[in-house]
Amino acid sequence: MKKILAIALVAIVSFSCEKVIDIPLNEADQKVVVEGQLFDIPHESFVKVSKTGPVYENEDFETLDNVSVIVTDNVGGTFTFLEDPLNPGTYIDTSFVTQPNTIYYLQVTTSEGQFTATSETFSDVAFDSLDYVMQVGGFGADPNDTSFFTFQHFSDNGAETNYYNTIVFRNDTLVNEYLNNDQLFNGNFISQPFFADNFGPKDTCTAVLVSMDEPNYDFKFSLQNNSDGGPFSATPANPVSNIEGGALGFFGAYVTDIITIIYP
Amino acid sequence: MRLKNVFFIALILLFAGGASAQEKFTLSGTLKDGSSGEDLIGARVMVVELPGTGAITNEYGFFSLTLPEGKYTIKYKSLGFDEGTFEVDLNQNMQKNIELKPTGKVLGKVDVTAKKADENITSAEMGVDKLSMSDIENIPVLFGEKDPLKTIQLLPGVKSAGEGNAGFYVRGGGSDQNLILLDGAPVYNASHLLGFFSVFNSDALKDIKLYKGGAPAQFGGRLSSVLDIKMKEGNQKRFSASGGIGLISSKLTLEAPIVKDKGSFIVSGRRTYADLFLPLSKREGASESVLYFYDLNAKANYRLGERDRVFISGYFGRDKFGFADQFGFDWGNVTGTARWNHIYGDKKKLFGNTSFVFSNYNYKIKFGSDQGDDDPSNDETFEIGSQIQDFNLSEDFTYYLNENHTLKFGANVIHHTFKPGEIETGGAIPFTLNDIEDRQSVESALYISNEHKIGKRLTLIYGARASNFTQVGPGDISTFDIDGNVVETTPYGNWEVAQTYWGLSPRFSSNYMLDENSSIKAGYARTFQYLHLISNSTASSPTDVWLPSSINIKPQIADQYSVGYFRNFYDNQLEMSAEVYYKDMQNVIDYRDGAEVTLNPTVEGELLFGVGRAYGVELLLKKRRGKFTGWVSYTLSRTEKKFTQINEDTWFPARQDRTHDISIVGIYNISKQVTVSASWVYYTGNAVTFPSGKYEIDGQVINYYTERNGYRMPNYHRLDLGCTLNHKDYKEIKDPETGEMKQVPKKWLSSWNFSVYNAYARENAYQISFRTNETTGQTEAVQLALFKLIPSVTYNFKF
Repeated sequence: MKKILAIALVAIVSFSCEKVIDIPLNEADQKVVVEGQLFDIPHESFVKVSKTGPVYENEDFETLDNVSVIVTDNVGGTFTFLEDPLNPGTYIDTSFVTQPNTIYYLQVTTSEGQFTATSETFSDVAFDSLDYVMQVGGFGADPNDTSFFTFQHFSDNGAETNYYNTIVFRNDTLVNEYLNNDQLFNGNFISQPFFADNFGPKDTCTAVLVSMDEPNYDFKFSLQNNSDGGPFSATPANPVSNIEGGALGFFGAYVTDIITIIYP
Repeated sequence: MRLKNVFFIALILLFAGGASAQEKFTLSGTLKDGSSGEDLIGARVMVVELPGTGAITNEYGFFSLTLPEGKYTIKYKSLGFDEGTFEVDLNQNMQKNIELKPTGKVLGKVDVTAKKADENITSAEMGVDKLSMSDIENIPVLFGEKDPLKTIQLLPGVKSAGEGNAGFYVRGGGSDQNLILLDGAPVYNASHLLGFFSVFNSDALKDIKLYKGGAPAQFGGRLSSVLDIKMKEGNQKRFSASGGIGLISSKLTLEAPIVKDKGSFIVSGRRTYADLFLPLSKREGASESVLYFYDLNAKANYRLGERDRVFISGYFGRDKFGFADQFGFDWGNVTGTARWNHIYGDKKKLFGNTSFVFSNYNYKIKFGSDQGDDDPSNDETFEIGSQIQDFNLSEDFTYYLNENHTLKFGANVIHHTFKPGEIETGGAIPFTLNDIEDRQSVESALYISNEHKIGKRLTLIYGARASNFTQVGPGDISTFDIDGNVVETTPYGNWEVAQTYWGLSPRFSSNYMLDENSSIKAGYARTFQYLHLISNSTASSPTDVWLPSSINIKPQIADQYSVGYFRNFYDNQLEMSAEVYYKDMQNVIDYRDGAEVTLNPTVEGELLFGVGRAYGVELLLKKRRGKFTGWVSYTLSRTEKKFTQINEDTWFPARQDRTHDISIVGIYNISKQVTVSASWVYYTGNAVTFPSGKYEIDGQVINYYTERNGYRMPNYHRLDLGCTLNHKDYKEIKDPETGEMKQVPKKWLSSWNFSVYNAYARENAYQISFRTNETTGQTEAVQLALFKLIPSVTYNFKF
């Protein structure tokens, strides 16, 4: 929706111009950033710990030394994540996978404080299918081009309050994420278009359906309003974090499903 | 005995004198423009023998003057017209309708809304600005489009919401706090093309009045201002057409009598063709886009008899933006008003107006194509629409009690329907989505107010307005907890009351004349606002939603105090005013961090409520007559808000807080043929939220914010220049009798208008965003400016 309005504005105003300007900013005190994402696929789960940096500086974000990252669950499991020697600041456990309907606890201990968070997984999810409608021409495209308008279909578990994110890849490049909650179709079959994406002939579309809890959904949702900065986006604000202890970031435990289609 | 006789005779004489003492009669009537039949608003009728006694015509040109029986000389005058007098022997109630002859004309545009030369001193109304249509014609604006909404932004206390933004801010209030009325019908979105133009075609308008301070008791429903716009009635004497052809748009107005001097109509239309320029743009997809808007104003009136007059008026406008048949976005307003004026009583002291008003604003977004055939299985369209619709019945009376008291009272009822999201999918779309629930409410009010003259120096206007707002079913209505989560949802039946709010708004303003040339004024007003525009972005968007007060949203309340000093110099050629105001607001709305307000069925959960205050000083110096006219206005002000959940419950500036706001306008009539004008504006930038740090999360670099509205956009300033060349309004022909050349007025009048917007091409910041430079990897602040220098040419005609 907002993208469309932004396109409308730009199309109207062919006379507009952009330039880089100098705006002095008050540099805030540095804060710790914790990002934890746990998946039900091996080798994918990680926890990143870093610090904020000044707006105008170029260097990589600072990482901290002597950090301990421990994940526990509500059925007695304890997992220690160790720093990846190839990626300082990222902590992994290659064999770790999330289980459905489990609560996970994160504890990150650093020289600048201890930070904790909680996230829960719900029942397993699965795509029903992906299908598409062929279009010739289309908004912003050559009138002779063929493109495909794609729909995702999956079922929602009526007994739970669910939040979903569908991550869409086009030929292995991430193009978009579609957030959803089940408020309007709890317990029903959900069908939705990837309305901002166009796929061409012979393209491969890979979609990952991620089921998450409410704090994660809130975080991702408010993240969208932070980055765009277009005239139709909301007043910028920090995304809503679920980390306790004064760090920025978020912690999420997910169950997923993947589906791939290739267009004719 | 003789003493007794004297006493007795004295008693009889006393009685006799008492019995015949001062029976009063009423002189009433209508003042009109003799050349077109348009009613003259604000014309003066004065009694020469009783200085200080007189009346002013109301918005229908009607006046009523109650005087003791006797012979009088009545003088009438109106700016731009010849003065006149007539004698009257007032021994019964009399009616006198007068047509005034216009003095000097420029392209036939006579100012029918005459302001008395010293009205700013004598009127008790505070915080009121009246715009003359000739001011609007001469001030250069964007693309040569004369725009009343842009012109009022040059007045003190009224701030532009910025380029690409529809609204305006009055005394620190938000853009939804202005009640915009077109012939009494509210216009919910007064902008075209995302705010670059307003919906008002100045060719069809007669009068524009802006109430900034407490509006009088007959107005209510918005906290900051009332913009009362009246359309022309139409030439009652003869057919007349006028129009203009410009670079971006063209317009045409036709007016004619229905029955000469009894009724007339006017039809006025305007259309842009901005899409003609899109093929020049390098932007992707621009050349196949459709982009235009149109307006149509139509009005008819008829006098049924001495006491009755009926009017019908309507406005229809639409913006269309689209790409082939794949994508369409259109929005617009429809308003309609039917009115009946009636003069009651033998004495004709009671003037009544009954109105029925309809207003609708809606937008529709369409994706996909229906392939142009009637087969539903080929229909791949997906449509989202939203609208707000009002039906309003109101009754307003003015009772001209006597020369010291004029009473106004009345009542109105409005039924609002809000449809926040209606979704339609074509047969080929495999899924359906539910509509967002409609909301209904009823807003009603009763008011009474009196304009009271005390002696020669003091005038008071006092009154009160009692209002009620009730949310009714049918519908499922939810309540929320402090975090914005739904607590419970209750179904309500048809017309079942979900929530009701009462409000009592006292209104008071006073004027004390220190001497003939100066006065001081003071006023207080309380207002309630029951409808709220939900918009969380910098630019106003046609998809901004109007929400009614409800179980979750309390009405906003404002208390405004103002004091002013007004002085005229040099025989009313120079006008000066200084006004100070303080406004206290309750139940002000703002948004949670990251609130999603577009098409959200539980959008009420995204709102936060707090308090606000605004205060400032407005200075105006205006030269009203002579070859050179113009004004300088300066406003120094502050607007702030305080919410428990934002910025840790401290006062922070509202987005529209602008410390300084300066406008300088100059219009110079070099000769009858040439007029040049210039306007320069300067204002402090909006309060904005910029980041104070950044970090990496989820594969992207995002900004870290420490406070909302803690920074400022760069200051805005701009110079516009304009020049109007009028062709001669006469032609020279040889008189067949005398053989000499003589001047004969031309039937076809025309002029050329040239204007330059942003003459020194300053890149004023529309928006600033922080982005990572792709080559260097550095974060930089990028400013987007909308317009550099834009010239424009328009050809105007009238016959």
